[in-house]
Amino acid sequence: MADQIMANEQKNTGLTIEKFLELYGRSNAAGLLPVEIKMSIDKAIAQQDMTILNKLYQILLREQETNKQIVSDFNESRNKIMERFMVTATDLRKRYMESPLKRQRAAAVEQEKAEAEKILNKIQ
Amino acid sequence: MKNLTCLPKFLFKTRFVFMGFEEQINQAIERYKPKDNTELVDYTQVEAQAKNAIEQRKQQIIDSLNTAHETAATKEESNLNAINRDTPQGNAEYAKKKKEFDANQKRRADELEQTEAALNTAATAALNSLRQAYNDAEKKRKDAADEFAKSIASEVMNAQRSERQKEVGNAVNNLMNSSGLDSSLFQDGLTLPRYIKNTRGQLEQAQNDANDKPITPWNKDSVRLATYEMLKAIYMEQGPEAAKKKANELMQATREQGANGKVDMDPSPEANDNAIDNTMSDLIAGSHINPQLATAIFVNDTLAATETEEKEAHGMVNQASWNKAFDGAVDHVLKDMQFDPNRGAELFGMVVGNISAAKELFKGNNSVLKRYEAAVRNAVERGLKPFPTPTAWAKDNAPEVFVTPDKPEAFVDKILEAYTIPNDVNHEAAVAKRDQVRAMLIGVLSATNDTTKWDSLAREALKTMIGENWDVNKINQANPTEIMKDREIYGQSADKLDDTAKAYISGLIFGAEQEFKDKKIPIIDADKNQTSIGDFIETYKSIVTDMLKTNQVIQSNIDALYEEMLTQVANNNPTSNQEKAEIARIESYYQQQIYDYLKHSLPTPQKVWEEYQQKNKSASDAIPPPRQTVQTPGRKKKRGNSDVKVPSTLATTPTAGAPSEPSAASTTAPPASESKGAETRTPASTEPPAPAAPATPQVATAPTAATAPGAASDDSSNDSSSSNDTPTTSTKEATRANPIRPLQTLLDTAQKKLNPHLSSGEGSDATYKIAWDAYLAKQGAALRNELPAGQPITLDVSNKKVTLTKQDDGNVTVQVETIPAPHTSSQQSNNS
Repeated sequence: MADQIMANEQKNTGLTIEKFLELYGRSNAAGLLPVEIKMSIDKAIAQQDMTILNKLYQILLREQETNKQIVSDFNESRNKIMERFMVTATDLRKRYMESPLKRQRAAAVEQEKAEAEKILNKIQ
Repeated sequence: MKNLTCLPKFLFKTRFVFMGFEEQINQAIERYKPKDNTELVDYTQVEAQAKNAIEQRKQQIIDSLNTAHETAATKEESNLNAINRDTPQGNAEYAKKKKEFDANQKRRADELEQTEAALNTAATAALNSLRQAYNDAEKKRKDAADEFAKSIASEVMNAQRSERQKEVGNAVNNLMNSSGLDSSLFQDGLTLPRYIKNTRGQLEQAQNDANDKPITPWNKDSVRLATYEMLKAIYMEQGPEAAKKKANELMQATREQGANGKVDMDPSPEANDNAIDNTMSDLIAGSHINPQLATAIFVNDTLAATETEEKEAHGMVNQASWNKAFDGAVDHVLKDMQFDPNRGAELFGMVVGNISAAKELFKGNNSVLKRYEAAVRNAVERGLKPFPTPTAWAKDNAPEVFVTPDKPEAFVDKILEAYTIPNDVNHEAAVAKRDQVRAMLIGVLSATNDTTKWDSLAREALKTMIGENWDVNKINQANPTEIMKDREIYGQSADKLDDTAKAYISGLIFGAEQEFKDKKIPIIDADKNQTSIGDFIETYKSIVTDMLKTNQVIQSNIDALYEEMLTQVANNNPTSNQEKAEIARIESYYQQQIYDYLKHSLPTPQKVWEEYQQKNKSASDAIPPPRQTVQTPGRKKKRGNSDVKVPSTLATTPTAGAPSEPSAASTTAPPASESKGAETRTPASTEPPAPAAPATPQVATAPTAATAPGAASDDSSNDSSSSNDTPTTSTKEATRANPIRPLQTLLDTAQKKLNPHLSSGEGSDATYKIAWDAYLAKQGAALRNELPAGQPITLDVSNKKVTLTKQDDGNVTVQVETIPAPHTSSQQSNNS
């Protein structure tokens, strides 16, 4: 009966040793575990104690999600930083390249205006 | 993936051997290395990518600016050249335009420079922000890993607890039956209540409230129930082995001292004789009590004259054994928590057992223990449901206790815990081999503070010593010379170092080679004022070699210890095996001193590396690492040039477990050995060698007080934060008792040995006298030598005044009298 329950449980969670090892291998937390805890986990793997492995798997999943989030947050930060640099660079480009053109255009407009004024003055 | 289809079967079939099996699992794990984006990419890559993008953009802007400038300049130049300079007006126009053109050219150059500078500033800011963001992410990742590690550890421990829940009832009952607790411990049934009564009596006297509290109305069944609950709590929290150990400790103490004089042992004469012989050996060696008293306990009709007193004496020891077996938890519950045992034996046992387990789990974290006590009190007041067991409580309230940074010593001891010395080998040689491997591994792991790397470092070292198909049960086949042979840098010290110290040094080098392979550091030649790039490992080796070969302070300190050892050995002319064993113990003690001194003095690779990194950060720090004088821990400076300097790491960075501030003429202890050694302690292990009278002041002040056997074991057991609490034993280290102690130390040691058994103050004066006489007769040779003749020394012990007077013939008389105002403290007043 207990075996059946465990089998059902495994069926429901879909946990396999392979899946557990996959996350366990990736886990940063696993590296920080005291030796006796590691030994207990090794024993649980060897005995295929899916009850405890399932509980640990849930923690490992949360760790994976957390890590994904951390990496994602970092990537976002990195993108923002790079974007900010690009914007700053563009501003600089504008300031030092487009501004002279504007100045030239503005000067030309001013000159046109001045000439127009002169003509108007002559007409009046 | 196809390889994994056979994995479960493989896992099932593989015999579970810690390291070997882990190797297999690691191989399986290796196939599942991260494939998705859950890991931060190494920062060098992140930075390289960012720098690349930034450079591209910068170049793009500079190029476009250059292009624009060139276009504008070309146009202006073209316009300039188009001006007809044949006329004065044209010349003037040209001059004006040329001036404008030159100004524009200058402006464009300035603009280009400013743009480049501004872009560089923005790039630096971006890279700094990126580094900060990465560091933040890295910290979050580490914090998260730490938190999840706690969760995993907590889950595993709670699962183990749940698993044990199913079997605990029968298991503890069986344990009590099989250990003999049921049949003999409760023969008189009153030892624990008497201990409780005594303790409560002391508390009540202190509170001037002697008559308020009733005597605990416990009977034999109550004691059994309390014991059952204590063992149950230990079983649940720490597992069957721990519970068994506690039961055996309790049983052994009972057997040794007898149950109030009643012998309840195997009825067969042969078994009885064997048991008595074994117990006698243990008693004599374990320095609890003298052979006469032990004899009286087991054959109490042979010493009828003093029977009553002896019964009383061992009865008190027996009572105290309850507290001792549960790591002081009985006292803790009664005194610190002021728990009222009248609440019932079951509850009392439950609280004591869980507090004992909590002390083990919390590893000396007193603030957590206090919080746990409060939770227990609260639960008790609320009627026990649910009773907070340490593991379950800590899961939500103090997860940090599940994952604490280990010291190399603790880590190594955990590995060696699984190793049992085979029966078919020479035990002494096997113990020596284990100690050597242990020292080697401690040296290897000292290469890094990153505990996640210790596992692989240890495995690499064990693989080198044992071979590819190693496992921890093959320690006996380890060949440490595989690691030592190319790393013999002991120099002139070689003949003064034993294999353990040599193994430690080789381990340091081996660890450095593993951890710092191909690492480069700047080598500064102060004379030429030049800096070159050198190999870190070579530099590290040269530092250690220099210290061992040419550093006069280290040399002289090692020499001094070694010569002192030779003097001590020469003073003892062995005629019997016992004396030979004593000489071996003296040698072992001094070799341990040298090993401890080296562990304290030699810098670890990690520390040297950090120091170089730190120096490297500052360009102005183009000087070698600061140098300081090395001092011997716990010894007074003797020969040697105190001006000889070594890198600061040598003096400021003791390896794990060593004291941080050794003092040259300190009266504090040298570094305590890192394992306690109860497990395989030989019969005479705690007995100090009886030394000849100190010949010189130098000898008299040598290795100091607290390393005396009693002090050492007491101190280390109290310091639960130390790695000394690790369970694996180093017999060699454990047997190294301090052979030379000044009077005060010897008195302290005597009190420490006797007080746990006598401090309740309940015993008669005769009991105290017997115990002191016994101690002086069997173990107090050094104390007898040190006592000044004709000058009485008075000690206040509980409510007794013990006066020791050395007669002219060398014998010491002991007088004991009860003093009116009782003292709870065992502080001695030496009025000599």
